[in-house]
Amino acid sequence: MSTSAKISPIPSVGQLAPDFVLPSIEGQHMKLSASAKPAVLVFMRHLA
Amino acid sequence: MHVVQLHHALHTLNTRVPVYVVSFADLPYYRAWLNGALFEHAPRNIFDNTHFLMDPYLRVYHAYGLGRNSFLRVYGPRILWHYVKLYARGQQLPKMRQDTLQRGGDFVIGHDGRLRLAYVGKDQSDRPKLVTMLEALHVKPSP
Repeated sequence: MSTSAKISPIPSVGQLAPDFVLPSIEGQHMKLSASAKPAVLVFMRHLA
Repeated sequence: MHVVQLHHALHTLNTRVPVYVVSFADLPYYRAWLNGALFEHAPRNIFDNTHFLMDPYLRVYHAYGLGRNSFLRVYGPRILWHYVKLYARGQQLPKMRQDTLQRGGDFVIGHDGRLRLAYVGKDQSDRPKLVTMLEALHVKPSP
């Protein structure tokens, strides 16, 4: 697991949500800007 | 568990917004967690609008400002004392396969693609209140 990428500041309310493409566990790719909104993003900590 | 409470609330209020749950866990561990910890606590249908996404290299975590917490913030005296007691009782300490210092966070994105909520907890147990998230979604919480 790489942690060398630069960490951006936490985006503020009113700012455009940073776009991304990520794979789902089913193997599909999800692009945020092409997805339905409003939407909720939950970033998990370690899974326990 | 925060993510279960959120889904229960959205389901109860019949709010069909997509939820993107992002984890840096590897796929086998992620699947095991879903089938064990998550789906044991809630009926699967409340996750119908949920996409479980993988970010093993933390690129998106970092784009949203989510770095790592300090060791002392995560393992404060309360947690360390808990582990001391487990050890004294001869119980096994939990084995962590993942980075326990990585921060999480909750974001609500509006119709226009702009953030309506950006919440990064102070420590590993800090999550936004459900009512705060529902308000950001412009959903009226039940009284």
